[in-house]
Amino acid sequence: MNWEGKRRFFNLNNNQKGVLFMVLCSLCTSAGQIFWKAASTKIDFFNPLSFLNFNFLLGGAVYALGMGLMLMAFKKGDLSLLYPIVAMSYVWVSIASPLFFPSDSMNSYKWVGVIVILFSVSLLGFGSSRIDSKNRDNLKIDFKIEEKSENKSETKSEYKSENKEIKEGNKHDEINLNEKEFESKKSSTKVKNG
Amino acid sequence: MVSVISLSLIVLGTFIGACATFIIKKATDKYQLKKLLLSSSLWGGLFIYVLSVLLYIYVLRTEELSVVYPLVATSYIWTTFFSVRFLGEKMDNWKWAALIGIILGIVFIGLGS
Repeated sequence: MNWEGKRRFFNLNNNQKGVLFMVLCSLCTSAGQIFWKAASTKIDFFNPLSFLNFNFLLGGAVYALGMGLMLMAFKKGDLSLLYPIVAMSYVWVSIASPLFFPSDSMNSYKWVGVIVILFSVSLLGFGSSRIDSKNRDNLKIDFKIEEKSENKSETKSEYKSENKEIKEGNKHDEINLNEKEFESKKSSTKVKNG
Repeated sequence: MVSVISLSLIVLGTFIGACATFIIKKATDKYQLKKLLLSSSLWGGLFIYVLSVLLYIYVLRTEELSVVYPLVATSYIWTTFFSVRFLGEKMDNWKWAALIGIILGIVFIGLGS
């Protein structure tokens, strides 16, 4: 792959950048949830000092990072594309939590859920990119039409002036004038022929 | 035991959460990053979001995950409705199918846990 190709590979459009940020956000929020779950056994709701717990604070920091990533993503792209990607956190949590908590385990229901969510999120991206490319084509068509009308602007203005004259003048007069012109032309041709 | 009150609470929570997401999205569209972090709409949106999370945690204490998860997934429908109605975003059949698929996946994960 040459330099141009590499540049094109990293040249994502705004929605794609948003999706990237959103997936990172879901990773951060699920990491935060796992840290909080690890902290939850040590936290006593009636003892504020118990909140100064390494796992709890780390979880909060990671969660805040995830929120920042979500803001960056929202700045880039469409909400209807980006928000459902939050559901990726279900995938990360179901896969990761059996690794950290022996009481949790994977089962076939969860695997089906994970696969369906992954498939659906990619389907969402596919649908969104189709809409984007359609919009781009429409823009191109509009641009072409504008270009054509610019080229024909002179002829258009001529048409308009003619129409105005017809509207302003009396129609009968117009016809009479035309007939007179026609007769005069006839006579002139006759004169020429004669 | 599934109670109607806690179920309606969680649907209310998802609606509030979707409102919060919409407010945050509006704020990110409106302000540059520095002004955004000082804007009242961002922090108001985050506050409403925290409220919805508190409702969610409250209901989770009494209800089972297999019931709560599918209801939480309705937040995606609310958000999509808001973004089509108020932000002028477009949906096609693929995106609707994807949305249904995501909810279905969450239902499966709820059944498994």
